[in-house]
Amino acid sequence: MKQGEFVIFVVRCIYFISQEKYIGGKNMICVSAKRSMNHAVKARRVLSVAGIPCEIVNLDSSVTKRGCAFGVSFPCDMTEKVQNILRRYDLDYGEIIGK
Amino acid sequence: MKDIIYFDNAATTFPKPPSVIEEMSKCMRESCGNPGRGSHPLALAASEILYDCRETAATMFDAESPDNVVFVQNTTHALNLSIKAYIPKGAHVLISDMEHNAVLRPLEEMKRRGCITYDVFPTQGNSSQVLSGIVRRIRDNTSAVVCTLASNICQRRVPSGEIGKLCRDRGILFVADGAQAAGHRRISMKDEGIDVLCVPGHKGLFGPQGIGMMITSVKRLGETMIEGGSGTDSLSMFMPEYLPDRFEAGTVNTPGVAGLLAGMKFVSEIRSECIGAIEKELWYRLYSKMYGDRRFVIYGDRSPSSVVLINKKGRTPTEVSGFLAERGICTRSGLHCAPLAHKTIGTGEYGGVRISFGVFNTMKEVDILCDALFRA
Repeated sequence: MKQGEFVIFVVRCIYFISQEKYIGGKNMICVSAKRSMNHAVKARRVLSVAGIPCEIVNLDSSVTKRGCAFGVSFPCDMTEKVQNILRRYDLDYGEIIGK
Repeated sequence: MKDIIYFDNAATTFPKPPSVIEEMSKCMRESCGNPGRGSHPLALAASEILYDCRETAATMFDAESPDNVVFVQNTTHALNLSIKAYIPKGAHVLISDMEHNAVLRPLEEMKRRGCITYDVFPTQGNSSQVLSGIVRRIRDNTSAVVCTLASNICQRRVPSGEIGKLCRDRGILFVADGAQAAGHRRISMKDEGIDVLCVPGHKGLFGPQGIGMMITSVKRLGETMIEGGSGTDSLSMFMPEYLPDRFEAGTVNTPGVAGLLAGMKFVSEIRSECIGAIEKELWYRLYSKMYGDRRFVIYGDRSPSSVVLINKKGRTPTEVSGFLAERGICTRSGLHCAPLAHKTIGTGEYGGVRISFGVFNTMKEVDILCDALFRA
């Protein structure tokens, strides 16, 4: 492997590792916010206010079985707290992916 | 552009607050991704703008939730959607005698197709007279009252709170056309019993043209009027079964929403009540100058509002409005897309000259207008 190819290989590895969290990696899970972006934004806001690190992510259509959808990712160890908060705000937390 | 005095705020408000222009420009420069179509930074920024606007609208109009705020093109779009989504085939509908073509035409078209029937109730008189006019016309299959909260041609307003209560007691849908009321006075969907509120972005809310809202509290799933991409549930052949996605096929006008949001913040800062008070002061100025002058007819009730309809004897409305336009004074003549309302107040043949105030008008401008009218 030439030096240039090796550099590209390393960069791609770093990229894929960093993306792992978005597809249900070891440290993060996704919360389906009822598939709507509007609900995802709402969920992200209430979780952020509660101090939970989270972000909106695209969910793959193979995951949802219904086509494009959105989720909110957050640390796995906060799942119960997240569910309680979303329930309190009447937000369906849907399927928890990556548990 | 030469000096303009703008009294056509019922058609669209002008000028717009600088914040509206700034926010639209900022959106176009920095955050105009496609909302709800991905999770990259620009798409997310656009989605956040949409959510902010829904949240602000839900608070302003006392709606149940930001989810209930559906973005549409304008009030006409919102009214068409409300009527076609929620009024079932075979239903009977009641409308007021002050309706705009945005209500009249979709209902007349549905009637022509044999889908519905409708009757018109009078708005002349006090609240109990208006209510009894509605009650007398209710049939077993009456499913909706669709009416304007404030006329677009004169001062007349309907007792919306009482109509809302009547509709709620009888299980009838109340669809309110807020084109001339939103931003001019406080509207509470909950207090006034409004099931669906249709509002424009570009009038009293000071947003740009091309954006409006249908705010619904109807629980049942409505029929869609337009189908297409929603960014979610894309494997389904049908529109999503949740709001607002169900009624928002295709890309939403994000810069328009950014402008509308800024406009609503502007209205919230000044407060609708204060805007209404300024417009009333302008009305008093005009009325005090013209009252008693036999060359003019002032139509409608003698109650102050942002809209005044006049005619000058011996001149057509178009001649008067044209005379004013030559002097840089903007008014609107004709039937104002509301032939039914003009017929109701007796101006069905030619219409009239509509003078509609805005929060940026001044007393001096009213004086200049009156002087020009006397010379017209």
